[in-house]
Amino acid sequence: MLKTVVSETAKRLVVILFVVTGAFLLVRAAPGDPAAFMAGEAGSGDPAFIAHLRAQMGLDRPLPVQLGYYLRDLAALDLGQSYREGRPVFDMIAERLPNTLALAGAAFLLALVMGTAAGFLAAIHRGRLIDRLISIGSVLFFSSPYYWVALMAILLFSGKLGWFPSHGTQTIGAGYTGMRALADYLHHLVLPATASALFSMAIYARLVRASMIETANALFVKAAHARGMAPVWIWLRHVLRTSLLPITTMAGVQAGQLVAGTILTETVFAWPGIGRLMYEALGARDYNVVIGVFLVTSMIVILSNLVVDLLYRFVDPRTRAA
Amino acid sequence: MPIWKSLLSRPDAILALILLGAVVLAGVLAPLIFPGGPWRMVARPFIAPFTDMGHPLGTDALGRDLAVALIYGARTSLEIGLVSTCAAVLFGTAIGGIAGFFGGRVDSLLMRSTEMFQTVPSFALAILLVAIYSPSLLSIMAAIAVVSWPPVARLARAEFLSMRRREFVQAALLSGQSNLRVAWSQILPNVLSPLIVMAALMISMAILFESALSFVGLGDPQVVSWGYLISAGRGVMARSWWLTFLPGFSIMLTIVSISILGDAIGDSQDPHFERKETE
Amino acid sequence: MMTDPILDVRDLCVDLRGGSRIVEDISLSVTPGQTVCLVGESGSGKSMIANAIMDLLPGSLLAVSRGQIRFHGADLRLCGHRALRELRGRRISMIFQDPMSALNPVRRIRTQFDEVFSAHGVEPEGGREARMLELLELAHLPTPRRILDAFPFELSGGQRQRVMISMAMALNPDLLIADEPTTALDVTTQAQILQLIAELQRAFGTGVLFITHDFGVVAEIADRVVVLRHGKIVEQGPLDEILRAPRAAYTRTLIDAVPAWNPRAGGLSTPALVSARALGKVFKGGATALDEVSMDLLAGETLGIVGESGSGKSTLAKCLIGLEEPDHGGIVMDGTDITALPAAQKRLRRHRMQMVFQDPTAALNPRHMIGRTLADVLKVNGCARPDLRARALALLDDVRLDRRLIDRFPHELSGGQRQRVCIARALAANPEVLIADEALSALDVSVQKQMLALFQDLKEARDLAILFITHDLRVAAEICDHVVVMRHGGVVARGTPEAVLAAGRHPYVEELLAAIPGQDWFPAGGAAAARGAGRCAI
Repeated sequence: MLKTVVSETAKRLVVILFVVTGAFLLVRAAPGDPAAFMAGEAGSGDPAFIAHLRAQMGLDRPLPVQLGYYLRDLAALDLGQSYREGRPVFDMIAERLPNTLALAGAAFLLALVMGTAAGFLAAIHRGRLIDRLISIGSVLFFSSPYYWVALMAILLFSGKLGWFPSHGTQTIGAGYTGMRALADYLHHLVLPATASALFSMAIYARLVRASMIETANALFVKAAHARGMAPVWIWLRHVLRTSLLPITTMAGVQAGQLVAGTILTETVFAWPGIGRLMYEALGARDYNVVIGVFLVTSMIVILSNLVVDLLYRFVDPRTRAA
Repeated sequence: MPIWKSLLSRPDAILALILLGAVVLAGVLAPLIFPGGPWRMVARPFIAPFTDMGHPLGTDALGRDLAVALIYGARTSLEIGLVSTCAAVLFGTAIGGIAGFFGGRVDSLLMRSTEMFQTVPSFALAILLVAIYSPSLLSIMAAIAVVSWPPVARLARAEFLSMRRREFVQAALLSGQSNLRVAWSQILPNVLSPLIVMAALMISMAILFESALSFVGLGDPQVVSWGYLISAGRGVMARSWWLTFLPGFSIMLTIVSISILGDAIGDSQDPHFERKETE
Repeated sequence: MMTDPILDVRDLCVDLRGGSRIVEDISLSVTPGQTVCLVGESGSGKSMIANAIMDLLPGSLLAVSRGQIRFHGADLRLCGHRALRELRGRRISMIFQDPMSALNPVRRIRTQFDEVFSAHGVEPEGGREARMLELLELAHLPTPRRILDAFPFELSGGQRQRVMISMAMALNPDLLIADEPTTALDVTTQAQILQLIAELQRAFGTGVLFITHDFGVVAEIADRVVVLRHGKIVEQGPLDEILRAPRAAYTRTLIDAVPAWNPRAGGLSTPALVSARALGKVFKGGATALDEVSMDLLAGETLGIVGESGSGKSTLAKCLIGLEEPDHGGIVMDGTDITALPAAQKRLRRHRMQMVFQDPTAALNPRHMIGRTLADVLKVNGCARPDLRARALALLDDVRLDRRLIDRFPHELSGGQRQRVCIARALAANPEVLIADEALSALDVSVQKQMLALFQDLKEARDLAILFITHDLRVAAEICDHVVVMRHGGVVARGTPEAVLAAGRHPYVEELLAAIPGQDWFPAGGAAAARGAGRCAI
């Protein structure tokens, strides 16, 4: 087991190195002077900042040496300076990251639980009304841009009905503390988390349904019937359990997509996380921030993949032995 | 063609076909029907839909016709969807096909690199690519193709690998047919239908990607796209909700149609050749 | 026997939903302690009858449309799902052909075994754990505690089937339905499983409904035989009667399809065409596939390679033909070692050896018509374009197929026809050597007989050397000039069939021979044959 953990982790380190090198090369290959490009808005106006960038990037040295500097900085958690705010990018990301993790985590759980439940219901009621409704619902959510669903949700649930706040993480000026503050935060979280979750939820529902229907045709399910087990137990203990394995792999991919997807939901809901940060930086062409957020997002995705992979090995006895 | 027959036997597929046909037709003919383009101010701003038959879907904050913008948006979406999907499918099939056919070291090398691309969050990578190479139709298509080929490669590899082990392929190789010939005439026709189904899915994803990129301000400033319309309408959403609603609704209808057709094609390809024994 | 039947099926019909009748007017009964064999080829509906009795038919496709299924006098069709569920597993058990997929791959044997008890709320004396261990021990599983902790993939095929049988017998059922339970197993394992079922049957007094396609197995275990064809009963009666004096011509064909036992003297002494020299191969996991295997295939002979699964016989064939690379050793053809040749040279020689595979369905491209399949091979072997169709038709004649099949797809053909197409395709390359890798085992017994005859004819007409890979010692003894017996990747015996199977034979050959079922009726070497010879009037 330890051996797998080590080798899997090593594999991820290679991927991280690949991502970082890729980002580095992309910037160097950008059209024009990389320093001017990185300075973005400031490119024409602030020669001091460009000079600072030039020195930091070591543009007069050969490319491998530049990469060396870059990696050294990253290892020291130095993601450079934001031109717009004049602060270290790492600090800006660090202070917003908890909000993003809360949003993505909530969306992930919601999608996993609701999606699996919907897929399970659809599978056991295959061909009946519930199945049709769930199928239609999942096709619709799968087909809609979720930032647009988010906007529509704001129109309906904040605008028309006034049930949920439409932006931010807390009621401004209310000065809540303790449990009240937490409740307020969660209240603000409802719409963004649901909107982010819908797409993944639709994917899980379809996958769980298809996987369960396939498993239900397996011989061991027939054998369980022949043993006289009650159908409910067969669905739960044999079909669902076995079908959840492919879902685990999917969950790894989706967790990553959710983190990246917060760029859209955070923008819509003015949720102060790293996605919103990236959006603002894009508008201001503050590229150090954009790349910083990209790298951090990638790290999170790679880590969650690692966790899911190890989990899968633990859950599926066949891979555990191999 | 049996595909057409099975499509026409499903009412949802017929509806999807009509809808998609309309979108494609409108997109293709846009410059002929509205030679003035989508950017022209043609009437007073904020006309509500269905109130002025000269501008059936109303106008935006600058008095531009929303119907015209939607039709030009369809053109952009389809163009980007088709081109980037084609590029991704061709590249992915080539990589995956080679890996699956030859196996061994070639396979593990190609698949390791594919996996790396797949681990990077695709939307974030697409944003980075478009941002660095400045938004244009070309950079957007390229970015979408770059982030969407890995799943194709994995599918193609799995299919080629399983076909490679099939005995009819081994028999073809034993009879002296060359590798290329076997891959082309024995394997490819047998793996085409899952690839087609996947391509349909990828066109949808490409359209969603493009709209999302436009929404965060990384659309091609020269062309109108549905995502751009959503973000443009967002500021006045409280006042004229349809400016946000209609472009998103167009995306949804298009993609629902594509998914239905993809499913229908996938279903129609299966039964004949894999006759299941009833015993 | 005049005891009341446990199971009494009357006029059972199964229909495709909204369609044709698949199983028609089946009547049969099973009394305590009796073994009733349901025999038939593929498509005879034999498994469907078993599933109908258990109410396990896929409801969306098939339904029982008429008839009664009486269990101790009560009609199961009328008793409702809940009551039926109570019976299943407790009083009627079932075991399946494929013990791997009949066990949930991701759950331990213990959990799955335990369900037998929990599903029926049974608490055996001394606790479930003790009872499970006891049952596994009864099934001759050496380390029952380890088996309970294992996942299905950690067990061998034979062990899995033993586990299935223990589970089926756990609640001491009155009736055991066995759906081809030994078809996926090797002969020696099959013999052990058949013995186990008989043992438990005696101990528990269970009635057994045994479904099989193999008349050898029937002769070994049946008290009563029901012969099925196309969903109808051809005839039924006590074993003696059916084997001694079958009334239906079809039954006769099935019985005759069991190869006769007359090991050939063989002994051709033509020069060697292909020779393997000390071939060795180790699989990735570390298992030895080939262990210093040497053999000669003589010009114009049929060489039988006999062995059970995992013996390395297929790997040997694949190495000879170039589908696998041996780790070391050489393959000599015309005095040159072809393993050492560059890839281009290898390709040029490919046509000299051709292969016929086990499963003809998998061996034909589903999207190519028969004509195209043959033409593709003819083309690369230098046939001019205008002659392609004529040559393809001639090939169909050679394998005795209707010329009209040239414009058909494989799925429109029967299994036997498909295998003939595969042979025609192999011949299209004009080979000197034909390798048949278990080429008969996916076919029905009545078809096997015809295919053997075809191989013999082709061999003589085309002066072919045939490498015949099989698990069936009977077949090898009948048609081969020489036989090589393999085990665990090595050769244990070689020579003419007569010599290999003669007195003083290798203990493993002895074991294989002893495992052949139904020797009382279908003699196969040794003491058993002598004992049965008197009884065997056919």
